[in-house]
Amino acid sequence: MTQNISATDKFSWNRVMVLARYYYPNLRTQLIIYPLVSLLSGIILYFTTKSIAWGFLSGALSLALSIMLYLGPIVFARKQTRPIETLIPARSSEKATFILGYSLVFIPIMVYLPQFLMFTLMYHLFPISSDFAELIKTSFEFNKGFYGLSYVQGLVPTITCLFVVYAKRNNRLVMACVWAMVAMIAQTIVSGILGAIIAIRQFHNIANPSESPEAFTTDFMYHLMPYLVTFFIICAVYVIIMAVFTVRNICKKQV
Amino acid sequence: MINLNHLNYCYRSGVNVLHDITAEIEPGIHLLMGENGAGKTTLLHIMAGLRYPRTATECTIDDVSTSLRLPSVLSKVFLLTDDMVFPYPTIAEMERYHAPFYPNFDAALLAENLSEFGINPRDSINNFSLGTRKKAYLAYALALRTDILLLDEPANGLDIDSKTVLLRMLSRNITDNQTVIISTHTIWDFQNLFDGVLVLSQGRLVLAEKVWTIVKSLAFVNSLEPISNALYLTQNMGRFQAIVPNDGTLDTAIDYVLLYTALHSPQQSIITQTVKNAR
Repeated sequence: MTQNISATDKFSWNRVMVLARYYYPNLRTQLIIYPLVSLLSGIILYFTTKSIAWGFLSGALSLALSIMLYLGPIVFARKQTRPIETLIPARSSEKATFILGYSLVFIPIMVYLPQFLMFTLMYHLFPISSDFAELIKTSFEFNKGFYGLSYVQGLVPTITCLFVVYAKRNNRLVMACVWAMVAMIAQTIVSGILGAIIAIRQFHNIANPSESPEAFTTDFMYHLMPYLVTFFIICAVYVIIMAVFTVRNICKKQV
Repeated sequence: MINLNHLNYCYRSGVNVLHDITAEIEPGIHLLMGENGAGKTTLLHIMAGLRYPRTATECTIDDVSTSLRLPSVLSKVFLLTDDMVFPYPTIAEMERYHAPFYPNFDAALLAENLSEFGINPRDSINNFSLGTRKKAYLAYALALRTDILLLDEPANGLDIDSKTVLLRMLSRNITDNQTVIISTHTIWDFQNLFDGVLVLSQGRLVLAEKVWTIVKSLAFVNSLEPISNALYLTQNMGRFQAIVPNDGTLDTAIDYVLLYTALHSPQQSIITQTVKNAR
């Protein structure tokens, strides 16, 4: 039974939900595969703590997860369905809310949350050696301050991919993949330059590794923070600008 | 009602497609004619909000600009073009995921239309022939029951039986407050269906009239003998075809092909002036 929604001109979350339903059949495969791959990588990540032989596979899966995140928005690059999508009686802002929300919030959650949950579950169910446990704890402590940066950094190729999907008329799939990779390479170059600057200017300031791990981490973070904040701001500004352009394309693009 | 108010449209490449089009399109079934490249599809796109002119007032539906793409306007319009592709593999999925956006969608009418065309809503559209796919799309478009339905070459690819079914469907299902604009080159498929005629020539709207105004002012005559007092005269396979002024005594059916040819000839202004005088 079809339940029709009202055609009010005000922004409606109900209509955003109906839009989610509209897109669902095209997203279904992604909604199944992404969490499954993420869960699998969580299991493999756990096994790397048992044997170093799993390390290579873990690296490959980590790369696969990143690629999944970067190219996630290509699900919106369906061939020739743009006119019917534009004709849907929903506000452009509602369409943009769903598309951006799905690409920039939901996809990262699908890619990384199952991995984290699975790893945590395995970690608690099958305890690992105390040395590895200590290493993981230190690693978590160290990475705690970088989660925001990692998230925004991961969005740079993703938003580039989404922008191209809605900006291009032809070859959207190929061009979106190409430009997402270009964004990733550009980002690597920028972070490499920043890394080189850090190495040249700050290496001698960073504490002596013979100090306690806590003191080393604190000192390391203290000297690194300005550079990380700079990189975070560059990425965040880029993501915001591209998001604005993407919204403009969703709302105003002539078909 | 669709209002076109000095509508101009220019592609990004700089090509001016539509020039100063002004018309009020009332409910009814309208024929949109024009040569290739006249701007028919662009005009339909503008009415549907897929393209928009420089100023918002140039195309409005019930006084709201189509370029704003507001739900209240979009829910009243559906455009079906020749190259349109539905996002789902079956009509049943269209009904489930797409139709909820349209408040007047009629599921019973969809089932009836599909059964008349002999189509199962659960069959994959990808396995359909071009004609069957077109029929499925048309059945769905009609069932949306939008106030304005824009059809670009709806009879393209349909066999003779299907054209007859489509004609029957259109005449049976279109209500008095619906506006249907059919852009087609195969006019004879829908010969007796139209309430109004829109004729584009090189991006200009040369005629936008109700059919009864046209037949009240013009008569379409076909004879073996040359016809005197013709506004437009042509000879085809030995017969003379002419458009003559109608003083109210002649009761002839409108010959769309002849009208189209006349409106693309130097006699265009005489024909349009005669129709205008009869308003």
